[in-house]
Amino acid sequence: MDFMDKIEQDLKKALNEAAMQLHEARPNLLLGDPAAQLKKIATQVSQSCIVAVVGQVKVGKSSFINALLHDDLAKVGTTETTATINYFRYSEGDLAPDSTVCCFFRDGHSSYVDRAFLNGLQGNDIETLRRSQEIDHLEYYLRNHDLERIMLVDTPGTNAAVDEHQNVVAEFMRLEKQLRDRHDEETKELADTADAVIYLIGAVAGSTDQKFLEEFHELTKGRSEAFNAVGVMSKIDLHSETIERRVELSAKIANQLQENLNTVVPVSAGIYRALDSLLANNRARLKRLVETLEGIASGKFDKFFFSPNHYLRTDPDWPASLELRKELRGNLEWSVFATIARVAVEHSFDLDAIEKQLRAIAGFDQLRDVLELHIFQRSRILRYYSKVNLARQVLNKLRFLLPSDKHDSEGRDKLERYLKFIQQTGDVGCNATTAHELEALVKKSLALQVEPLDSIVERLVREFDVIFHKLEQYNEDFGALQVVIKHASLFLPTEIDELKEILGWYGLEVENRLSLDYVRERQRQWRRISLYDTNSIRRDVANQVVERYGRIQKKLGGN
Amino acid sequence: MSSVTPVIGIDFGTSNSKMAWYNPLTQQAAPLKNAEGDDVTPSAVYFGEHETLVGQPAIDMLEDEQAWDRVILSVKRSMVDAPVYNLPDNRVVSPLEVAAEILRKLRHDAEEFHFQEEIKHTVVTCPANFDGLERDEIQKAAQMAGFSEVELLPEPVAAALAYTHTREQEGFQVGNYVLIYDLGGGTFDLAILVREGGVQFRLGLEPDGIKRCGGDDFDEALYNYCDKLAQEKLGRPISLTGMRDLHFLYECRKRKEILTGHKHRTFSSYLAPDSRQFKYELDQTTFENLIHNQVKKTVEKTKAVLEQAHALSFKIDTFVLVGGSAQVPLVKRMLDENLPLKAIMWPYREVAVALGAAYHAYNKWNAGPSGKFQSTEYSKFRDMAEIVWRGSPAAVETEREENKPKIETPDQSKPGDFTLVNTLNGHANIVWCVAVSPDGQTLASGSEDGTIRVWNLDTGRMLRKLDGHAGGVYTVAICPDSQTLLSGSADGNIRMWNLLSGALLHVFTGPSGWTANVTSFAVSPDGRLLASGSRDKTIKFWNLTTGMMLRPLVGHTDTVWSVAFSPHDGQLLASSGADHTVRLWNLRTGMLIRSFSTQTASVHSVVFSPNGQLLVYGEGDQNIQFWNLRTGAQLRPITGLSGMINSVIFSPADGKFLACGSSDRVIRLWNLREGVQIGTFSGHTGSVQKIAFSPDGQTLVSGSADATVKIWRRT
Repeated sequence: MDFMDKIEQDLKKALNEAAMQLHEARPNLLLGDPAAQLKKIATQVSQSCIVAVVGQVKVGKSSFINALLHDDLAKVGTTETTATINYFRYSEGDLAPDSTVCCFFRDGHSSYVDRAFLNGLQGNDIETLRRSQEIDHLEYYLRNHDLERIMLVDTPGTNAAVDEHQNVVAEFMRLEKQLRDRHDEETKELADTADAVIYLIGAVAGSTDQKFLEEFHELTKGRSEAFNAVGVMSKIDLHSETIERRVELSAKIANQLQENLNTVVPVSAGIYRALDSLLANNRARLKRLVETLEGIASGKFDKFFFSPNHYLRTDPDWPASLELRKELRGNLEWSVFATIARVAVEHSFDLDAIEKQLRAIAGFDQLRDVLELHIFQRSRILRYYSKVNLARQVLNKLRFLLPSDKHDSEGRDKLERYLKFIQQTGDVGCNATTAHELEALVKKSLALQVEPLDSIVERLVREFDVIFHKLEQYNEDFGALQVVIKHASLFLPTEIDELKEILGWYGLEVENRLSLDYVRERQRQWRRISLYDTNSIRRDVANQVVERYGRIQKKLGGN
Repeated sequence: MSSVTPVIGIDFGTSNSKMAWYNPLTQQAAPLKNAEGDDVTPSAVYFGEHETLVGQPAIDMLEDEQAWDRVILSVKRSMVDAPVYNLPDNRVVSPLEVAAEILRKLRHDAEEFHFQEEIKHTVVTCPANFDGLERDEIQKAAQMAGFSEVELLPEPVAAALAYTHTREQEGFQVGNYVLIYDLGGGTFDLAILVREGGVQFRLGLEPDGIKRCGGDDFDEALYNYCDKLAQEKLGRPISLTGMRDLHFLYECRKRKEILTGHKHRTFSSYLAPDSRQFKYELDQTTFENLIHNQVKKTVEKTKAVLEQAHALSFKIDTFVLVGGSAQVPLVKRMLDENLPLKAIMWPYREVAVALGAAYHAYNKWNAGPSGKFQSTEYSKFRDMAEIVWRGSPAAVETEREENKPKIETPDQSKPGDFTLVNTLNGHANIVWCVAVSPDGQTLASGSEDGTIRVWNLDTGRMLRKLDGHAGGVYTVAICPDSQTLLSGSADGNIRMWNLLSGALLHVFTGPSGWTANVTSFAVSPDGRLLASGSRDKTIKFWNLTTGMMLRPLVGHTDTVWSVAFSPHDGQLLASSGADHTVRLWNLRTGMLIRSFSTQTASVHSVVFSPNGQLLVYGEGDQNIQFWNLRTGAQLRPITGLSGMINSVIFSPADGKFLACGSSDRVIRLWNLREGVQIGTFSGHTGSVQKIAFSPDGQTLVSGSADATVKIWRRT
């Protein structure tokens, strides 16, 4: 059986077992019925890994998600229902257009909804708010490869948006606040309960790493863990300086937040979208743009592209008519358009180079690699990890929150004291038979005493600790593997092959493929590296590999 | 000494381990040195063909090209489902065995160089986030190392305990919410601790920290910097082998320590393989720049944790830096600059966790069930001569056959052998206290009316009235000389009078501003020392010869109602209070021997039996509890009483009788030898506040809320 299947099975078994034992031991536990909670977690174990996208309002989550899902969403025809929580789930086969989006209402009923319905959720008016208020969440069923392994959740975002609407009435304010408060709560809850989180931050004034850091801090509130959180700087296209410094900025931020975020990736959904139209029909639009730009006299570019107004100014040096210029820009955001133009010039109008660079700036290829490595491939481990921790939380809560159960242990303490008393002094002052009868009586009641909740919890939690440690080991191997791939230049090709094999790239059941002597020898080599190597990254990886070999050796029955 | 169970506390660390013990003489925990003479033992083991080396000797083997692969380091991070490490001779060791070797060495060194006897008990600390399985492994390792009794304690809890205990011993106050910043060799840990009473703490938040952040990183930063310097100066790296020069790395560690005290230093090293001299200069600023980012990370983390604590309304009042790397001056400086709370740099930072473990260990195995520090005297005390309060074994046999429970059924028909002979009127209000002079001549009574009256015990004639107190007189005592009278009052003063002349000899005043009422007195058997209990929860001591106030006993959490010296030696003091506890103190060391907690009752009266074997106290309005101090066993109580038990006394000399005065206006008398209640004396029309026997046991006096003093005589 596959490692992950085994974990899944163990976890479900432990959850059901714990639920049953808890229910048997304490059928009347109040406090949210922990046994039922554990049972519920058991049913959730096999569901897909939930990845929440969390960001402030207006950070461009919708376009980000759209880009992430390869525009499968756009095909559905809706992109901007920002006032609802949206789930994106995998669907096998092409669904009929009328059964692609299901709306779950707060009153409990649900129904498939059409495009008109979704359009009705996109405004910024009182009617939209009223409609949104009724809705719990929307589910989109998409035939998207990534969604086979995860379920994406688009949260409504945090922080109340400053309303710029002109004629706001009190009713509107009230409704908006209500909805906003609810969504704030739900976003926090989703960020806390999701198996993994993508934190999204938009453009930041000044584009300094400090500002970005603050935004991330504000967003994650210190709750996020590098283990299951990825940071994304979106809208880097708003400032040309941010685009230029994006790699440096994201590396700096990632370094500062290495405890909270797995990595930080800069993306531009604007460039990503623009690429679509630029590259359509064999790069027709890109070619036209490049041809035009090529005609600009050297030294004039900066002047023409200084601002949207400069771009449209009449100037005898412009090789293109105003109409053509308007057409070239189309509906692109100015910053996106200007960036594309600048890239074209910087890459000497070489179409391949321009496309490559724009793709790099869009960042979605890199992001998808990151998500693949950090989240999609690990979807099961992330899921089980979060469920194990949830189970531990449910149980541990009992230890602290149930003062009523103290009576049990008090009763037990008392009986134990009686017993001690009888044994010590009980036969003084009454006859021996009575003393023995008394002793037997107390012993009997002691045996009838129920096990104190503390000790039940202690016992049950251990079952989950076992699973947790297995997952953690697996995850540490996985983490080391990621480090190896990220810092491939630090390792010899032969080392990389060995590490991939050992750390689970080709599956975990390596034991059968290795001999005991080989394992011993390799552990020794890597131990040497872990002690003496000058590079701390290599030493860290080596430490993990040493342990891995040590575990393999144990399974091989070395010694 | 030998009757104390030898116990040690161990801080078993990922890179370094430390141990400590509790010294009963200084009443402080202190680090224990290992065989190499160090406080710190590196957590490393060398498994040689014929010998096993632990600590620095194992580390030293790393520099030996032939032996390095027999050295195992930092096993603590993977104890569960652990890997194995193979040795050159096809031997295999597990982290459990490695951990056991480290603990065994510590135990051995402590036995050999310190205790000179076997140590079976230890408290081992572990990271706060260790789960049950990980704790089990540490426990197993300690057992493998030869400890039969092992208790685990979370590291930050230990650190907080050590800090609080030490500081409070020194007379400083420590708050209720303690933030522990622990920057060690390999890891950085943060924990918020909430005081649960005494020096007991629990974790207030999930512990936080950074896994790879600590002194090892500082060493490495310095190494890398020196590597650059060597390139510039000598045109070669530190190491020519392409591997780290571990010897130079350890030198860097020493340099780092030197730079905490020196702004600028010139150093010199000899590099392998040709012992080439490498002279270089380092200054504090350069070093601080090297580690600035690491330290900053810890500051950010601390800030975040403080914010979380704030959100939970934990008012962090104490912020302590512990761990060896916290001594880098930059740490405190950056914390102080960036946080609203002042960081306390504690001199014992490096061994704090081990000290806490030592306190906990002593507390656990050398104290009674209530778990307080206990002195060596307790064990000695248990060896004193025997007394069985319910009579000889023969008597017990008879009782068994009769199968007649006695104490619980007062024999109402049988008249008590004391009769009321005199009622002394004069006080205008409640009589709180009475005392009979050791010569049996005089009786003194103190009243809410603020006066003390002195009476002839025989005739009942009032000899004199002593005025002066500005409040009710709660307690009086007559010294063994039968001439000196002491009185304590609600006005917070203690007055010393000449009983015969009525002259005021001295007024004892407490520390300035001390106004708490004095509730109870006890004079030591030698007449030199006065103990007073008061509403300020302390027990104060006064040298009756010099008038000096001595060090108080602190521990009760509410009014102290009653105090008593142990007879003859006066070495022990028993106290009882409104905090539902009775406490037994060793006066020689000032330490609490044991605390007896009652269920829910205030204890107004505690007394020793005349031979010092029994400790007896009235528990609220129900029971009189008996403890055999020799065996430490609780004996069968007298139960089912009614009315608050205000005063419990033994008949002098033989201790055969026990009398008790209660708020139900009645005085009861038991014959303890026979285990029967022999009398119930009524007459008072108000609560009986205090009773006393004359030295011959023939006369009993009682003071009551009915403003009278009554004298009862044996008939």
